[in-house]
Amino acid sequence: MTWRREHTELTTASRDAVWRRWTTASAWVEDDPSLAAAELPSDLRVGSRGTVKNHGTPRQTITFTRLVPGRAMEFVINLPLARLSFPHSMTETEHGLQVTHAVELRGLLAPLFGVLVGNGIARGLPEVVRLVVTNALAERAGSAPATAEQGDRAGS
Amino acid sequence: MSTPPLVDVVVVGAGLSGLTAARRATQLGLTTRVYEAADRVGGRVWSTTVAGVHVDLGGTFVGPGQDRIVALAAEVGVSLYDTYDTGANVVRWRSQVKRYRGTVPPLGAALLDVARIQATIERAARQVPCGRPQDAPGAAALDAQTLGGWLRQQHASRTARDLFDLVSRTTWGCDADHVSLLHVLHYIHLCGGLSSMLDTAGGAQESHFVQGSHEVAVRVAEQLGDAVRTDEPVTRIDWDDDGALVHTDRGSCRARRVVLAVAPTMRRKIRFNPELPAAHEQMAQRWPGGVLSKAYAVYETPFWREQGLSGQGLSDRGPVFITFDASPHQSREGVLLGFVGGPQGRAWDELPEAERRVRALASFADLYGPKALEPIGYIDQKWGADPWTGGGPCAAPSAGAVVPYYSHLATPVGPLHWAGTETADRWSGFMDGAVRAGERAAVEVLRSISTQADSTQADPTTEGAPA
Repeated sequence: MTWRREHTELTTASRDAVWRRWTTASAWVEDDPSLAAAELPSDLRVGSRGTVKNHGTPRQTITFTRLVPGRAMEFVINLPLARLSFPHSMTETEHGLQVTHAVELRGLLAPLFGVLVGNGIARGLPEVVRLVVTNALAERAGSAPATAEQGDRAGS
Repeated sequence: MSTPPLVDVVVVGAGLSGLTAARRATQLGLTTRVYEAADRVGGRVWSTTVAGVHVDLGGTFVGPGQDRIVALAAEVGVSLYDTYDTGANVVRWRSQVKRYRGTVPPLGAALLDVARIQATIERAARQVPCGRPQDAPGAAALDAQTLGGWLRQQHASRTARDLFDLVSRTTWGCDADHVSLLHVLHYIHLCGGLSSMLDTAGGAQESHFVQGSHEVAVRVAEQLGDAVRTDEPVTRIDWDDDGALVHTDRGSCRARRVVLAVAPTMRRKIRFNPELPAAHEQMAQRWPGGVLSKAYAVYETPFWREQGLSGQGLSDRGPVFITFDASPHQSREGVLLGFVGGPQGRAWDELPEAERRVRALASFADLYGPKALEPIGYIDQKWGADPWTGGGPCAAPSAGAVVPYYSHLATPVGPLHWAGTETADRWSGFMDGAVRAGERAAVEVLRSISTQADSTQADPTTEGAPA
């Protein structure tokens, strides 16, 4: 049983800059207003573990399951009888770079967790993806990263 | 040093309101001079050409009841055509794209709640006297809350609140949480109701100008000739009861009366000597302009029409949240106009031009398919970043800013009179309101000058010389 929601933004940001946002712990906190802290190993590889802490919730362990530089990244959080994964992908098109973040639940309790946690995460996806690409652009321009106040809070 | 020239009326601001005031004052036999800070006339109406196609960058639409702007346009030879309104509208809401007819999109069970809120707002708006919102029953309580706060108090559904956020962004350039409920109700009443304000057929979006709305301002300015000075901001106004001395960086001009036809917040850019009453300064601070931007994509053809779509769309995804078919009259090209506003609009305004373009086109593609990603031309206009208009489309007073300050919007101070769409007694916030306010200010000035002349003749000790 699979439950999935995703959001895509088209951008002029570069693959490299987006990839750096995806693989740098400090960028995760800047790009996701729901995150209070993130810790990632410096030499990320498939199977690497890190931790994330959302505001008001305990720290959780994440495991990287896919890392294709400049293309795709995915990490998972194990839940009782379900697996919560966050597939990230980017595709170059003639109109710009398509950056997609998804939230996916698999397993027996996927529908239940979809209602309990998935919908909330999905509502925040547009804001997160917009912040990722906006801050990737800012990185190129050398300006300070955008914050949730500057970005859109409607999706959170 | 030569004596500054003397005119009956100096008008500050060559937007539609200021130009109308000057034109009408001239018709009434008064001598005028118009100072405009920007290097063009028009204020919040402006246009350009993209891929050979004319687009209105500012005020665009007119509708039934907006007879003053329509009359002015007709007088200067600018004609109207109907906004394209054939076929289905499209909405992207909660990740689903649907077609619909009419103004209100198909939002499932929430539609009943939207209807309930709309009816309640319409009823409440009718209780607010036009031109005197501070005299509405319970005015202070209405003014003490925002539209957003009131919606929550009414237990409006999330969908209804989100929908009214879109209305608020388009109308006042801010979210429902940032605009006074009393202002909203008064504004709606001045438009004759929500339907009149929001509808295309039969409403304020019914028509466009063939030559563009900016052309109205250009032609009025041409009629006024040398009286209009662009690129000449007024820096200081010395005034007393008899008149004023208006200063710019290039010189000064004496005037029996001054009409300030600028957005409320822009009044702060001028130094007054003596200072205006404190409430005027406070009002200018607490009536900021909204933040609304417009994106235009020009296509080889209006391809959405072939799909049976009207070009009118609504999206909760952004950055473009409302679209219209703004294709030129009798032309093969198609033009999609998108409004960008609210918190997402502010972030979008900060982006480089190429990124703004990509994101706006992606919004169009969300509603109309991948062909929308391939325009032959694109332009956007960020009114929130315009240095001389004070934002757009109009002022958005926050909670508590209407009851204490509304009466200061248009009440003359000595020889200083006020115009601008915000001061209008109907269609405030629209081009029609700008024209009405300009006409009212001109008549007001004539009466004031006539009254002064009468009293001067009656009192031989008065010199009657302006400042």
